[in-house]
Amino acid sequence: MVTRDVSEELRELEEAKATWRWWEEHYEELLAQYPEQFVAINKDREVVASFHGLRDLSDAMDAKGLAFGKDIDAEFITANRHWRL
Amino acid sequence: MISGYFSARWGCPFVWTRLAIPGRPPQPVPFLIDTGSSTSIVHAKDARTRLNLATDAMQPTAWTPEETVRRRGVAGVALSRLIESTFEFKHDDGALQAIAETIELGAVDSQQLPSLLGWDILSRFRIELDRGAGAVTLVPR
Repeated sequence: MVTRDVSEELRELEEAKATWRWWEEHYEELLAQYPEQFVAINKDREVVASFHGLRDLSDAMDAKGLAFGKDIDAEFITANRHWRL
Repeated sequence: MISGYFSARWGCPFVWTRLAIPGRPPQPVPFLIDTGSSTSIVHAKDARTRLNLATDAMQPTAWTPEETVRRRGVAGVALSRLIESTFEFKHDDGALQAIAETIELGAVDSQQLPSLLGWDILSRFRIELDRGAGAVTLVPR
């Protein structure tokens, strides 16, 4: 039987959920400072960059040697609260 | 049973999964539960910031005709790319449920949208959504 230890993977999932909750809890203050922008935060949840386009953010993080997921997390901050998908 | 939540930001139901695509290890991705969508799609921000795909890989000009699909939505026609994937859902009791499915990758102009969990995945579950109680549950059929 093949088994694998998933404890580390599940820890990453719980960390991602906790970071998502942080975005939700700080959304209004982020919106006041970075409206309609992609915002990147580090593991200490400090804003390290903001750009209006995903490609610009991506290029800037690559230039700094920062990896999404491992070093930083990013969200799009918008005043638009409604979707029709 | 898999528990999700209603986003305080959007008021919409979300569920987390770990998503693996070819050449990439599984990564946590939040999906909006979209009962109006027949297929699931990873939009550009999650593809870049969670799955670590390059933005160049989200340009339709880089896709082959065989892997490119046109989907009609309320906003018009959008192009997306078919990709093999494996979802790993974590049940509340700690068990993992894996589902392999061909899903879609949104083009880079989808960058402001959340990723969507459509009926290709949702059909495997009984879904309970209760905004008043804040309950989002997926129970395997």
